[in-house]
Parts: sequence; C-alpha cells; structure tokens
Amino acid sequence: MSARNLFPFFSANPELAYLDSAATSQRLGSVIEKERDFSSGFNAPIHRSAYSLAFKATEEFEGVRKKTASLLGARAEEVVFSSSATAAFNLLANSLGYVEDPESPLFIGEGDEILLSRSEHNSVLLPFQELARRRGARLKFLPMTEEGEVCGWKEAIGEKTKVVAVSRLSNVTGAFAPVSEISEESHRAGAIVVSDLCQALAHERTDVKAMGIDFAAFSAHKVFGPTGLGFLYGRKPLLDLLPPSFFGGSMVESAWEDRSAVYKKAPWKFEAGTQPVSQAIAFEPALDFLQNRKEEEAALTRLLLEASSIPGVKILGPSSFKNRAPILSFAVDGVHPHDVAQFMDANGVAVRSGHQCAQILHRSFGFPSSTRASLSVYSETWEVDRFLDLLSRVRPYFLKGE
Amino acid sequence: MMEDLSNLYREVILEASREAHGRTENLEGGLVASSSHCAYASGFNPSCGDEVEMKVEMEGGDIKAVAWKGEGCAICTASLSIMTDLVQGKSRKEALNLYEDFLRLMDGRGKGEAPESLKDAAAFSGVAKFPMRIKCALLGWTTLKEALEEAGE
Repeated sequence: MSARNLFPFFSANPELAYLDSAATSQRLGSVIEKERDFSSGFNAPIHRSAYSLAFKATEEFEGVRKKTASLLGARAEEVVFSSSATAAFNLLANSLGYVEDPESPLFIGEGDEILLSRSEHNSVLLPFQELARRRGARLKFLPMTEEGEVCGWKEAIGEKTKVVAVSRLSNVTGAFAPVSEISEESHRAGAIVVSDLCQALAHERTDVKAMGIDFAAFSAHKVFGPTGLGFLYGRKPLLDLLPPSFFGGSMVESAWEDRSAVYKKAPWKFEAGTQPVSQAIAFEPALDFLQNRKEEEAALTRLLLEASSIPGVKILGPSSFKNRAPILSFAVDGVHPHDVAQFMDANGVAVRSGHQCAQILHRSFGFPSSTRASLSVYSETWEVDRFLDLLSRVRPYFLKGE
Repeated sequence: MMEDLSNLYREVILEASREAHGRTENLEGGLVASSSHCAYASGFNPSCGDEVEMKVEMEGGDIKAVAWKGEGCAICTASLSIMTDLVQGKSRKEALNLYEDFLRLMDGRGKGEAPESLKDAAAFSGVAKFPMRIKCALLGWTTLKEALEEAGE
C-alpha cells in the first residue's frame, strides 16, 4: 500500500502536487485521530494529579519521550519537550548563556568561538548569534563548496571553538552533512556539537550517538506530526550541567521566599509550564511510522534532479544524488522565484519561494532567494513529472519576446 | 487554471517587467536637470529579500525623473516601471494622490475598479486577488512615497 493513503490531506486534495514537505509535512491520519481521541477521551493534566485519568495522560506523554529517544538512539532522560525546534534552539542557546562556571564544558566566554555552517537555518543562527553577542564570543562560519557542501572544518575548528553547529540535512541544498566526522574533530578540540535534525528525520533515522551529536532539535510538524511541538536532545552529562533558562510550574522541586528554588533534574527542569500535551500524545503514531519506515526516495531524488538539465535552471546544491535528499532549490535565469512559484501554483504544484530562512546560504550562492521543491514519503512520480514539465515552461512564459 | 494566471500577469505587466523603465545600475549619475535636487529612499520586502533603492529628481516641486536600482519579481518590476512613467512630470501632491489611488486598488476597496488616473497601473487590479503578491506591487510605490515625504521637508 502506498504511504500516501495514510495521509487524509491527499484525499482532500487529489489534484495537487504538494512539493513543500521541507516546510511542513502532511499529517498522518493516525496522528489526527490520536489527537481527537486524547482531546475527547482522556484529556487531563500531566505530572500533577493523582486520579487515574491524569495518570493515563502522564503515561502517554512520557511514552512519547521514550519513543522519541528510541528513534534518535538516545535515552528518555535526554529528550526535552518544547513547542518547536526554534524554541528548542532558543532554550539551548539561552541556557548556555546562563552557565557561570568558567570550568564547565558548556561555558562560553569572551573571545571563544561559535562555529556554524553556512546553511544553518535562522532558528539556529539567530539564537547563537545573540548568545555570542551577549558573551563576547565570536561567531564564525565554516566554508562551503560551490555546491553548498560543508567543508574545511579541520582547519576551522581550533582551541577557542566551544560550539560547532552543523545541520545534518540542509533545508536548501538537500545535502547531508558529514556530522560524524565533524563531531570527531570538534570533540578533539573540546567543543560541543549541535545539529539541527528538522530536515534529516524526514529522510533518515539519524542516530545521535553514532554521529557524536551533543545537542539536537527537531519539530514534529516536519515529520508527519502536529505543529506546536518540538524536541531538544542533549547528551545526559551535558544536559545535567545545562542550567534552565525558562522558569515556572512543573520544573521546580521546591520554591522558597528567601533562597533560590531547587529545580528538578533534566529533562524536567527544562519543561516549565504546561507542555504541548495534545500535540505530544498525538505525535506517538508518527514516531511508530518513522521507526518502521523504509527509505525509498532514491528514484524520486534522481528524477527531481533532472531539473538541472532544463535550460536556464541553476541548482543550489549538489548535482549528484548521492548523500542527498529529495530537496531541490534552484534559480531560474531571468525569472524571480515568486513568479516561478506563482506559475506552478496556477498549475497545481505547491513549491516554496524565498530565502527559506537561510539568507547567509543564499548570499553565499549569490542569489537573494530561490524556489524549492521538496518531496517526502508520500510523494509520487506524477508530481515530479508535472513539476519538471512546468519548470521547462517557466522561462518561455515570462521571457517571451526576448 | 492558466486563466487565473493571465489575470495576474496581464500582457502589459509582463511587458513592463521586461522593459523595466527607470531601472539603473548606478543611482549616482544621470541627473536630468542640473538645477534639480534629489530625494532618496529604499524599500525592502523581508519575505522575499527584494530590495529597491530609488532616486527621485525634483525641480520646482515637480518630479523630473525617477530612477531605481534593484531586483524584484515580475509584479514588483512592472509596478516600478509603470509607476516611473506615470509620475514623471507630476507634482509631489499629484504623485502622492496616485499613491493613494494605487493603494486603494490593492486594498480592493475600489472593488477592482481602477480610477482613470492610474492608466497602465490599472492592470494591477488583478493583483488584489492574490494577497501574497500585493506587497510586490506596492514596494515601488511605498518607496516613492518615502522619497517624496523626504523631498517635502
């Protein structure tokens, strides 16, 4: 059975070629049902009440923490709930800014360096840029190849490097980064490794331990789950050392009027206030789906890359289909990405246009923005065929008479 | 579905986007009248990264010429091009009135009926039906308004 049947969106929109899964994926029917079941059947507060319904809700919620950990190859205590990947990266960067002990492996001080790849999404770039500014640290960028692949980390990582942030899969170039190799080099220099897994998890089962990742984040809505839910992964000893930076109910053991509160252990010390409980519980079937899925994207990735042979189309990313996911950003000579996307939309293809929250990368490529087509488990050949056909007609439509 | 598209990208718009009247590589040079003074403004559309820098050359309260520099989509470029032609020779006040007319057209408050004053810019009435593109059509006009306000001081 095609995975497409598991997604009600496609019954509601049978004619549409949805090629914007890198922005948000469609949701599994089982996710939608689970959220309804929880909301209508066993909605109750978690972690605080003694009645059986509240216990069931708590069990389900904590069960999602376990399944998320299992998907990442991590332990349950290493997974923190958040409202989005952006919120998770802000939590991490803010908390790093709260580290006061200069001996801590997490301490970032004057003159230290935070090293980022050029393809980092604004949700990684900006929290770390602010952290660097507040701590007097320097923000530096790894070089990239002409095709947008991370390179030169051996030379770039040095004594002063405290954080290296490289997303496993770029939302623009579709290239997988060699995070394992970068981790090895980073750890040798005593730096921690942060990896954005938002795109990667839709296309592979990233194992954070095998890759040597210290901190990672992802959001549920990019992997067939609901919006409003994200996760932070942190390697246990580091998560223990990381202070909370968001305070309130549920994250505290005891509060006093005349001395500092005693906070819970990680991961709960990072979960102040009511968590996105409905979304978390609804996410459970998506985790099962991710755990059991088989990778079958190579053929579609190859087909998508045929775009590069269309006259006037320039790919922002690797031209080879190896180490690549079906995420394709491109520029059309003489036609603005907004016009490309509008032309596609009028013909039943949804693609992204703009800088895709990656302005630094776009500037490095020499284009202010691009158009992006991205596929997922439910994508079908006819969608890519229609996209390619339209792409070949864009320039004749807009540039006629030239 | 192509019908939709031709309502947005009317022939006059596609043509204007290719001709791009007023576009220049260098805003510094090319003054039309030696006695004139110039007002500058720039506009930015954060959702697509489009940027325009504009120079409005004034003489005795009238617009002698508009020059602009930047990259934009077909709607944005066409709007700048048609606006450049439209406001040339107009007084500051007349140009600001045209801005208001165009704004009303984009808001759809005129129910798609463009006042005659807008001439070729009336072709943008189709844009009002594509809310995501209204800011593309407006970028040039809001930048002009800013320049004129500066010139008015």
